[in-house]
Amino acid sequence: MTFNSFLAAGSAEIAPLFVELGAIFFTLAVVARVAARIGLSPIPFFLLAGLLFGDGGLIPIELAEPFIQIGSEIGVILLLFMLGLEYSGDELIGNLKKGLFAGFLDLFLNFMPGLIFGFLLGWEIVPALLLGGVTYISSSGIISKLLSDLGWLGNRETPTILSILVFEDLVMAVYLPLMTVLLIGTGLATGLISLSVALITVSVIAFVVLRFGSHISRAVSSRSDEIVLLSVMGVMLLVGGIAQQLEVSAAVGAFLFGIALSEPINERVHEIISPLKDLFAAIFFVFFGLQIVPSELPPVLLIAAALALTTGITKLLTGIFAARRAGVSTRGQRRTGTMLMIRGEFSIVIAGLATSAEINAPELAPLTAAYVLIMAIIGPIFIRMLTPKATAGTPRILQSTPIAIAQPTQETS
Amino acid sequence: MTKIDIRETKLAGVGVQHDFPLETGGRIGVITHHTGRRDFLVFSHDDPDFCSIALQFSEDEARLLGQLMGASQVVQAMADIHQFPGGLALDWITIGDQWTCRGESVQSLGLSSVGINIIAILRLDTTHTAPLADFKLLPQDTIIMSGAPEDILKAIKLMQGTGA
Repeated sequence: MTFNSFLAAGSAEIAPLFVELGAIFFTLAVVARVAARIGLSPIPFFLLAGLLFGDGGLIPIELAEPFIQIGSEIGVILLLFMLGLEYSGDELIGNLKKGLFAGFLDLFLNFMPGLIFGFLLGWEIVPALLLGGVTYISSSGIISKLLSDLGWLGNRETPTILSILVFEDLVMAVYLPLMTVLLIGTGLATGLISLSVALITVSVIAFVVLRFGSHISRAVSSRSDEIVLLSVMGVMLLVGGIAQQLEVSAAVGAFLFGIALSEPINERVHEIISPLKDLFAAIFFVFFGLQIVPSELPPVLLIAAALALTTGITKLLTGIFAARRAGVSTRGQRRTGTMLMIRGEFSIVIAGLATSAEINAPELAPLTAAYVLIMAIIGPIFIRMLTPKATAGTPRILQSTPIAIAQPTQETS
Repeated sequence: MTKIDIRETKLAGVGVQHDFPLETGGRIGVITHHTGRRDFLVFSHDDPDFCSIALQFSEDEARLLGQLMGASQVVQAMADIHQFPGGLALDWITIGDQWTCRGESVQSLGLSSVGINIIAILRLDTTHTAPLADFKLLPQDTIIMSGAPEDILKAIKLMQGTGA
């Protein structure tokens, strides 16, 4: 095909494709604005928007679907990459030593309910393990944004919350490759071999990352933002692709690459990649919603509510135990538990693994969507209920505390 | 000056937090983010684990506040701890208009050879703590240094150009 005939063929389809994509992004912008107005994370709203565009939705899309699908895969990689970027290798290791007890308590208390619910639904082991992951992992994206927005970063319980989130992220680095292998569903012998290959690959990448992090950082550095952007995207997709080829999951490869980038380049990469992550992560949430037929939701709502109640309580207990161990007061313990209740992007990443594989649990995707919708919305609402009426920065608090404030002097009065 | 018990907490993925109790009650602190952002914290009186105030400062604003809070206090604090047990002393001296060290860099003074450390230099209302080796001295700068009392005398003579 010559270039001209390519253009002619393309232009017929390109116009409706642009209209579809434009409609999607515009809708996302509107729902994100609504979410911001009422002080909630846009993630559950992006899922709802996806439902709107999918099969059986109000405005079914056709042409944009291939783009959305590839975009959503890149979205997952970027989400995990940005997560890795937040931490340095030393921070992760230091944290692992401190937060071991709280981490395992969290894993046990919150993985079990999902797993058990999966079995009760008559699922096989693999989808049940996926549901365990869905209920286990808190949303570090929503939680860290809330901590910052509410001015809670300095609170005594915050190190406990962050340390649990870091532990969960590390568990993901083992859990995702494990599930990737299990989902391929080969026999026990080949399964064990692929699993060993996957875990060895993760270890090798992790070792390279921790040992040569500063070299990798220097390699992507440049004065030009353009070169940094292209280097980071190039290495991220290469590492992700190779990891995926070895059945490790591309996202984990990207996560480890994110950890490898250390100061001073990590802040700049954060700034440069952030808008891309926002774009592709939104596409990922939409794509997940797209694949759910809205009529599948009502039958799973009751199960989702029961799951939300159970795992809301188990996360609350996790937070209370962990914060009490760290010597935090009762109110701080409650704040910890409530904060950790919020599930979001990573629950969807885990359930999203199943959409590309063939598993015998059609309820998994709609159940996860309904569950995340509940947890991502009620969590922040509970948090606001725990916040004292007079919030950060109001002068009223200054007067109610005995902290010495400048007394009016003779001259000024 | 009494010793203040500063609590340091690492916040994974965020930065590092320092906080300390106030003599008048309450607790204040600062979070230094990896991004350079600073959060100024005031802990609540009725829930000491909770920050009732968290103000965001840029790096420049934080430095400005630090200077406003610190500059006038350095000299006053020195007056209280002029000499420690064990022979270590702190002293400060203002450079005269005719001293030979004027216009010279800190490094070229060779103070470390006589066992003296420069802790800070006060210029006008600004405190330059731990000045770099290429910091140029000017008349009317106040140099704060530590070392043995006799070494401090040697250092002053060096700067005046009258001995050593």
